[in-house]
Amino acid sequence: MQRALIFAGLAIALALGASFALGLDRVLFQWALEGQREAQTLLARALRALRAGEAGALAALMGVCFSYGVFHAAGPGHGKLLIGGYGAAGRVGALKLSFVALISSLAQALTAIALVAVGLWVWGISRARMTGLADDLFQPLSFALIAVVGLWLAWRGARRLMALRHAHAAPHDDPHDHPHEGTDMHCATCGHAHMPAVDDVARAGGLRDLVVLVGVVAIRPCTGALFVLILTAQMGIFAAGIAGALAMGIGTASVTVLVAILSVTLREGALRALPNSAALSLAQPTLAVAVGLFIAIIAGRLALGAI
Amino acid sequence: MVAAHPHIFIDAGLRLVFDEAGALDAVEVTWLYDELYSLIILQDYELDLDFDGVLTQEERDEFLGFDLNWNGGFSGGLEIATSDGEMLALGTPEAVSFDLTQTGQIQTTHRRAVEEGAQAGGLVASAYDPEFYIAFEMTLPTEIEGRVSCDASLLRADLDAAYAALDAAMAEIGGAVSEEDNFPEIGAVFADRVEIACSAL
Repeated sequence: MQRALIFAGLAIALALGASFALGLDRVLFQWALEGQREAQTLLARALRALRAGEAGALAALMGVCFSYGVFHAAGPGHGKLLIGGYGAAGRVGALKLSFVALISSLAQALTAIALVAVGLWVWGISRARMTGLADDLFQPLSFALIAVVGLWLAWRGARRLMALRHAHAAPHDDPHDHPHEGTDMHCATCGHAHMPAVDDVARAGGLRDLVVLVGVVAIRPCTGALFVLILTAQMGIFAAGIAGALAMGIGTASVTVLVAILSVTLREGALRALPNSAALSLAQPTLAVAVGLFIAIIAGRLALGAI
Repeated sequence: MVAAHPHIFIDAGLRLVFDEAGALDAVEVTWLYDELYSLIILQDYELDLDFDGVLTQEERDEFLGFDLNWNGGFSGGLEIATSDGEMLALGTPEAVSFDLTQTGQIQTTHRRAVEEGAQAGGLVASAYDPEFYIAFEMTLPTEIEGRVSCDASLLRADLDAAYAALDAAMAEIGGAVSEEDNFPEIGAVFADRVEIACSAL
């Protein structure tokens, strides 16, 4: 089982590396672009058919919204960055993280539904202002919050590393006040028993974490869902719009769930390849620091870019 | 990182109008909007409320030129250069037409004067939105008026070359992209081009 997992992780890593080397990411980009255009056209046709009262139009709308969600999610996005990063940084199970991915996509759809309902009927603001609000306010806000979550993950990893250092430093009675990089590496292989309980590290994945993940993803409604909701509201078929937005969320979730499973599989595969639990307990928080900083930098740039 | 993805797709077509001396006098730009954005516009402006797919004359008149209030760094998305790379100065847009096609797509045409009428030995036209919020494709036909001996050929964007150029531009600034105004001016290499070659008069 362990061996299979390692091989699976390695195979996925190799496949991703090879696809970037061969330029398949460009093919994917083009495919997503064409796909979005296609989905956009089909969406318009489904809405017109629905308005005209054609049979089967609602089912068509659901199908189109689902694939719109998939294509929309196939590009670079905040949900994947956060969920994937979290899965890579902390000890969280693939099933649990997949569940978070699904819930956060649906919650994102609910945000869009609430925003449109309140925006159109309570505030009475226009479509342009509403999508402007999504792009100018919620988007940078969401990226900024993701950057904060990245820093938080990194901080948590750093604290674990410091705890490890203390665990080692005490019995050695090290007289020098120097940084411990070398010492840690040495001790990682010397089989000391002063490791922190693995359970401490496994705190990642607690309820509070999962709520934060869902909230940070959900705060930014997807522009596509807003378009569908506003259009259907204007056309007098808002209930169909709600169903469409949820279908879109499930479409988006199908990609983020994949990212969740990939990130967990990769991390588990990589870490299980390590020789012993000492190395493991060092590698896990180091990974968390690296991934957390990576998320913070990417999301920070995106937040600045989105202002 | 091409983070932005387009929300509006426009098929663009050009009509190049040459004067008697054989210089490019004006260019008419036709934009055919994608069906979803068209539907959004119809709903926003409360057009075609009877859903028969036909606009009234009043509707066509009232919204003529609705898409010509350019701002926020978008200046029409059109560039025309001579074969030696000199950019032609294009005038402000004048609305020509606004209509709804049978496919439920809004189609508009506007005209831009070419200020220093260039003798067209060769011209290269490209349509793109630097921010890529709009994805232009120059797939509508190119028409030539006033000259008979011109050939127009469409060169679709070469994505491989475009990504290579993006990589190079990123390397030049050390990969440090933190804000939009810092992002390399790379939109042009992702654009379709139409090359117009005219033989002597």
